[in-house]
Amino acid sequence: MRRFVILGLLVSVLVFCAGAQNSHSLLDTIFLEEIITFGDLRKFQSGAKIENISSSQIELAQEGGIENVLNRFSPVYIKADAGGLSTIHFRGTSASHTSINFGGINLNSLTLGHSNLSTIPTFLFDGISLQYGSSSAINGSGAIGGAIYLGLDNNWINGLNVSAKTTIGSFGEYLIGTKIFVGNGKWESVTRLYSFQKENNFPFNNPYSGDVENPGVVEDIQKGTAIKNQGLLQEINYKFSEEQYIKSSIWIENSWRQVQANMQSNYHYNGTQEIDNDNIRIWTEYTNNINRIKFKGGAGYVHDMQVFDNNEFQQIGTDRFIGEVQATRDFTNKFGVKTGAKYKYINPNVHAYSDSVIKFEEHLDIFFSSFYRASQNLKFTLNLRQTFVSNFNAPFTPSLGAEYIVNSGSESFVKFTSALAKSYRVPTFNDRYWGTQGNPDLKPESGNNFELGTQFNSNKNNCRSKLGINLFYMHVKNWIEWRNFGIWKAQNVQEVVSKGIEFQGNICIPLGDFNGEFGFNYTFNPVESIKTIEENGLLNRHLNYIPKHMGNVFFTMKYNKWHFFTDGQFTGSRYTDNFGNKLPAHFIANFGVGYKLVVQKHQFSFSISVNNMLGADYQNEKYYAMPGRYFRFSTKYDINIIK
Amino acid sequence: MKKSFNYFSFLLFSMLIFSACNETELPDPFPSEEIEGCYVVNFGSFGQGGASISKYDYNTGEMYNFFYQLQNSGNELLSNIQYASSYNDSVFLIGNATDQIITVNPFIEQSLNGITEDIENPRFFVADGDYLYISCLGANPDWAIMPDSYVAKYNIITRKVETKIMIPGGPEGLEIANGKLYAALNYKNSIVVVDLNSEEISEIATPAVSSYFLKDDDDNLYFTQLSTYSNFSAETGLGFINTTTDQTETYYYLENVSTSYGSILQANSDFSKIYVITSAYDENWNLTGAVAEFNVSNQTFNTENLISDISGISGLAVNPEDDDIYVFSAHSTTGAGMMQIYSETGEYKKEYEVGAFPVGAFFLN
Repeated sequence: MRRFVILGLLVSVLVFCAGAQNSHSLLDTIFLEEIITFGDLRKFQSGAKIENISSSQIELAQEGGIENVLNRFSPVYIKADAGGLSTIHFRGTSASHTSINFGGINLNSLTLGHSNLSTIPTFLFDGISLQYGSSSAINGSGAIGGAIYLGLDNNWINGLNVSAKTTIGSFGEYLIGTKIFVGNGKWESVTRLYSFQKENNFPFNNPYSGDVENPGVVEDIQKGTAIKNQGLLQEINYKFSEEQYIKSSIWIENSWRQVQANMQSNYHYNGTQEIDNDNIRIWTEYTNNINRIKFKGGAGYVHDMQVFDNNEFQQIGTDRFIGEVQATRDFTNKFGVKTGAKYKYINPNVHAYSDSVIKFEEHLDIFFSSFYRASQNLKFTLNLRQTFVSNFNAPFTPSLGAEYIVNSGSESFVKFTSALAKSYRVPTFNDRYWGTQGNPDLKPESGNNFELGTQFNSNKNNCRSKLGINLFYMHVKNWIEWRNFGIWKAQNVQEVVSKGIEFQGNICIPLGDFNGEFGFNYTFNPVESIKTIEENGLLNRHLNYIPKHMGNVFFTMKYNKWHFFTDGQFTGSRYTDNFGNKLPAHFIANFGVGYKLVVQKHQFSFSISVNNMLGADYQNEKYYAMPGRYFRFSTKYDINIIK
Repeated sequence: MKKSFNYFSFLLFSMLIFSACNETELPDPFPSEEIEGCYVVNFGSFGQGGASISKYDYNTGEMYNFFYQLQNSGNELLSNIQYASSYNDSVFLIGNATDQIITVNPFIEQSLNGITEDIENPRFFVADGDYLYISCLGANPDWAIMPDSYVAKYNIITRKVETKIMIPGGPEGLEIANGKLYAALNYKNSIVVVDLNSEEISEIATPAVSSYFLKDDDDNLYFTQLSTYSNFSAETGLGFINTTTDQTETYYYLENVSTSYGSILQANSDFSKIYVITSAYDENWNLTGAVAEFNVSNQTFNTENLISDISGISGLAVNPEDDDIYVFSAHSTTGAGMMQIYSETGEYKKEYEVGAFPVGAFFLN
């Protein structure tokens, strides 16, 4: 803790000194670019750390779910097996402590509380942004460790743009997908369609055969781990004017997978279970920026249904209707406010819930946001949110942010940020209503998040670079987990402190005809339970399945029609149980090369990549095999007919 | 002739002496002083490993955690151990994920591979002659009605499952009495009876689902009656089957009988007392476990629990040597569980940390 206080003071002193030395006007081009990129997220959250994963990085990992992109290009830990189950652990928090947002919809399952990232296909999205740290005042329940925003490009195309992609990979991997943008500048239809499947019959070294008569590591083939996902995302958008438009999207997704057997069961394989998910997400949003008071209203519907092992009697699903309105008024360019409300009506359809206990639930969020620019360089933001849940008390959630920007040269600036935020999570439906084990007396999880950061940005000859460092301290109370109390039930079991330091950089490397980009992320993140209700529970020790050290590097180089890329991810050792057993650290490296051929309006792209090229033999979850070296070959066709 | 006779007599006498020496001095392969103890079965985390055996030497008071690993060159138990018991100089472990029957000697040393064929989601076993009868839920259980569950008849000598006796309804605990196999159905309100000679199957209807049996000295059975979410019943407690008539003669009402899968039902050494684990909310709405005592002679439950306020209760065992009661508890499947020892009168004696999620124990001597 003392190290963090010292580092915090150091950053504060740097802020003060830099401010004293230089308070000239901002680099408009860079600043504007940033606002365009992050829009409203930045406007009312000045101290928050929000990072974009670039479209070129997304392009490199479109096969499968978004966990592939996050693993390779962010310092966020993803706990994943090879069989299509992956959960996110932002800054040492649990899987249900990250909200994943698509329009006004939080994708997280209301029954489980989290999302399986493998069922969120990267291919369908044009942008992915990550917000580090608590953002419950903006995103509501669950945004304790972080938030992910899935973005769609709206180009208001006047013409036709079609792209189609196919990938063939090792172990029965196939991706076929298309995106069709068609419009007349006012109307726009965007169709995104994909199908992804993977047999996942990869070879691996099995040290857990359990063969005591012939002990040793055996060569094995993973069985029963197939994945088949398919989805359609259809947008219909209409622009009345630059300030007034309506956007609507419907996303239909089916995700099917076999439950991966652990290595010991795989050796004696006699079948596995299947999980089938159907999701329908509809979001329509009207924006009117004509008047001084800018208005935005949205409505949506979400249907989530999971069937385990084809047993239709054991459905786990919810239907929810969502409505949201918000009004924004910038009184001056120094001061503006936003206020609004969000309503959700949720109807669970879960075999293990009794109708006498839960028929439906209503949530109402009232929120207020404001910014105040004390000077051209100094900005404060305030966010307030109160959630009302039928039959449950949720806490009031404020957050406060500040940023100070200093020009450090004609083409660069330094930004200092700070944020204080409260966060919360309403217990899931399963936590409260599952059979006789649901616990209606649970308290909401609540967190306090403190953050300090600094970022150096430069833009020389359209070559953008940035370097950043962030310190954070998060204290989460009433952490909910399922525990045995004679029967298994959800309980507020512990208090957890997560703290750490994050370094990130993105450096443009112009080398004549070569255009290079180098990036890195590193996180040091101790996470400990500081209080537990268990007599012999884990206390003052790093949590299980959270690496203390994580990092990645990536490098891309473009030369004429060629591009090369390589990236590597380091995941530190992780405790797997309270007895001190650990999974060792591992390093995964990928390499690829691509070529673009342009013939008039037609563009053909080819790429080949080798993943895990060093053939790392590793486990992300103990006893579950991961693939070694594998290959992908992709082709992409684009046609752009603009009137 | 006389000389020959003397030689022959001497030879015969020597052979007798040596054979007598062999009879008395043949070393015991499993000396009691080395194997005697309580062996705690720690289930671990389903599909995630962590299963182990803890050996408690009640003569010295020493606890040896991860005892299987100690005895097997550091090898892990790769199945989650649902149940274990000794029979004929062997200990049989019922493993899940991987589903298998593991056989170890009384030193808990494993020299042969586990049996996986025709063993799918095994739960419990009972031994008879050269056979183990093993309750199994089937490869892909339909958890609502368990249509594919069965009892596997496993030949200990040939190490093969010879027959699957189909018993829909999720057989859990098993017992053999009067030449019949009794299966407690955990998803249906009945007890199944299999005549081991004719293999004829019949059912005894019960007011609630059941989980485990205890056999008294007259070969009659006590069995638990539970209320589960999918099979609610207000009539929980103990039932009694006269195995001659296969009638349930009496029910003894007890609230909140544990629905856990582990050792929730035990008797003391002379079968004068039966102990049942319960889980209930206290006046502050905290869910805690207790051990209820059933007095066999007057056929009533004591009004006060023998042991109470056990958070995370997960199993029970009774030491046949001194009738001490071993109560197991664990909140999670990844951390150390606890073993608390009480006297026969419910007086707390001591406690030990054991492996992850203890569900019961067996005793060797």
